[in-house]
Amino acid sequence: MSDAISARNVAYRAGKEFAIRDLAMTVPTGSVYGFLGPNGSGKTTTLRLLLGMLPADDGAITVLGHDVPVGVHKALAKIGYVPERLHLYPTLTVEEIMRYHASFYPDWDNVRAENLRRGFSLRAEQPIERLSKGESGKLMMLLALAHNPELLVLDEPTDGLDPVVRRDVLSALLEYVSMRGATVLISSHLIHEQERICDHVGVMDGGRLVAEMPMTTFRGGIKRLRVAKGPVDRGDFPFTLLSRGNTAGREEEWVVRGWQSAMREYFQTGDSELREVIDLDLEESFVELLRSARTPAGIAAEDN
Amino acid sequence: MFRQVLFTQWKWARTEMFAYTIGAFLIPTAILKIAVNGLDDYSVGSMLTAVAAAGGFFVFLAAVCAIGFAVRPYLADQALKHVYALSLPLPWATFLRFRFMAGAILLIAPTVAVYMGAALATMTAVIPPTLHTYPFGIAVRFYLTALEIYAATFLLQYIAGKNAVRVVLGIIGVLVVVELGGRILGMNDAWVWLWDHMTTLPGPLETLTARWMMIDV
Amino acid sequence: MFERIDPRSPTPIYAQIAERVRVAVAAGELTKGDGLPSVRALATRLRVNPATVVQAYRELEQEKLVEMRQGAGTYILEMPADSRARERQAAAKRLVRGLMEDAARLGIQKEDIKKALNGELSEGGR
Repeated sequence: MSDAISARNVAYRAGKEFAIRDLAMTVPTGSVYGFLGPNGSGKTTTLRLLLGMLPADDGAITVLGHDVPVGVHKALAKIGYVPERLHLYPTLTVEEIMRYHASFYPDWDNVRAENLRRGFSLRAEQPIERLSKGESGKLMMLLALAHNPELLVLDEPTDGLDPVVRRDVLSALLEYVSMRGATVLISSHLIHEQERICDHVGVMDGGRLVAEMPMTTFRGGIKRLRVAKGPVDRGDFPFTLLSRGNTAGREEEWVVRGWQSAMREYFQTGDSELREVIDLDLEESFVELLRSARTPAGIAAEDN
Repeated sequence: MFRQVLFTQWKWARTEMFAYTIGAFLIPTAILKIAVNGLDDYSVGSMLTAVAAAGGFFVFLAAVCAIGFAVRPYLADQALKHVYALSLPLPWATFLRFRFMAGAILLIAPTVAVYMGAALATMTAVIPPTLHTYPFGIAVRFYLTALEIYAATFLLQYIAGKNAVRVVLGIIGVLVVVELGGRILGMNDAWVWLWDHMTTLPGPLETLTARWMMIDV
Repeated sequence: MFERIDPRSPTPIYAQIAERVRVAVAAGELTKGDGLPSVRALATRLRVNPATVVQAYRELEQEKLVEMRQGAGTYILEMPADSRARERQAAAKRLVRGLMEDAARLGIQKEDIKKALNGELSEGGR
């Protein structure tokens, strides 16, 4: 099965500087792909490029088998999009925007739309400008789900929502994904939420995608090591050393990537000792990865 | 799809459209009455002068309707940075076509009101026997004028977008250049020459400056 | 039963879900014929990827603990009494292994563990 989204060599310039460059991204069909990255790294711009809302200066993008931007409007019929900010006409009511939206999507399911509306407690006659932030978030998710999309592109769908609303929105999303097997591309800085639901990860930093891999590889691959009398770097480490620092006494803390348990043997030579191998959660892995992606040598200073 | 675009544009323009329609219906009668009452005699010449005075109102109304119907939906999209429109599964050109057609259809309502208003005005006025009434002609001219202004505004805002103001300033700049260039070439009335060309058929501004006569020979 | 699944824990989420089911069966809370929540319901409730739930259920199916019936849901299989006891023993072993890993990390000797264990067992008597 071909990928839901495929991007190669994408570049985009906003003004004089390149906002996005050398972007290569693959979202496998049926995956829940978590798009991580600090603010300003270009996540929203990338999503807009993928959906043909911004013209790329270079590169090739394919979404659901259609070229972007030439045939993107055919793909958009099967895509549910939730942008970062409310993008709906404020003077229309909930009911009116649902009817407006439905007219553009042949696969609109009125029954599901009504069920979602009731489940989200949205009043049909309420004007959009009078909806709370949580209600707008729910309305945008409703419009994205109701036309039976194959692909969902979500830009910070739960940002700024209170925990109850966040739960409602995520539940509706996951219920749909379970039922339909849709592909999801979800950009969010709420890493703990991403950790629960994503099985793939793409990390964006400074306009580039610096890492892309299945979630298990990403989480499992980065470890923190407690090392006593650490060996000198002779350039033959079997893992990638991301950072190394002194903690207390002779003990050091190493952060490594690509760790496998057989690599314990490396520390059995000389008088160095591997005291502990610590798993990092997604947030810590993400921070370490970014830190290493930004320092040229990938090794932090001793007195970090 | 188009029906919903038409509905939303109508909903946004509802209030103004109501005002324009009522105005188009009542004001011609009022103006004509006032103009006629100010006359000393009921000769053909004076009647025509009075009617010409009412004519200006139609140009004004056409411009107001046209610009209003063009700008309102654009501003609604612009406020949302066009994200919603761009995310819908139809080509951008098609969406613009829908927007344009919707506005063109909405202009029919004030046009019908103009027809009825002109008909009412001419019915209630005392007309010398050699003159005829042209409410239908006025209505048709109204629609075409409004459509012309509407199209120009529509194109300007979508092509120029945020640069619309700059484009307008640019046009003014062009006019300045024409005037100065004319003076250099020994033409003291370059503007007049340009104006004449634009306002006599087939110039685009002809309809704005010509006389709109509900009653004529 | 599925409260407080911890996505940050080094144990993958699917393993945590599977473990909860195993423990519930061993404790007799779930018996033959009981249905587990549907993939859809559990994924929605826990707000996790549905593929994760499927993975957990598949692992349990491979252990012959549950049966995934196409279109009807997932049900606990007949568990003879001795295999329940075996489950309990396996769970106990997992608990002790975890304890010993923690102890090793803190540098606690086996003797100290034994002393503490005996102390707690005689004291608690639950």
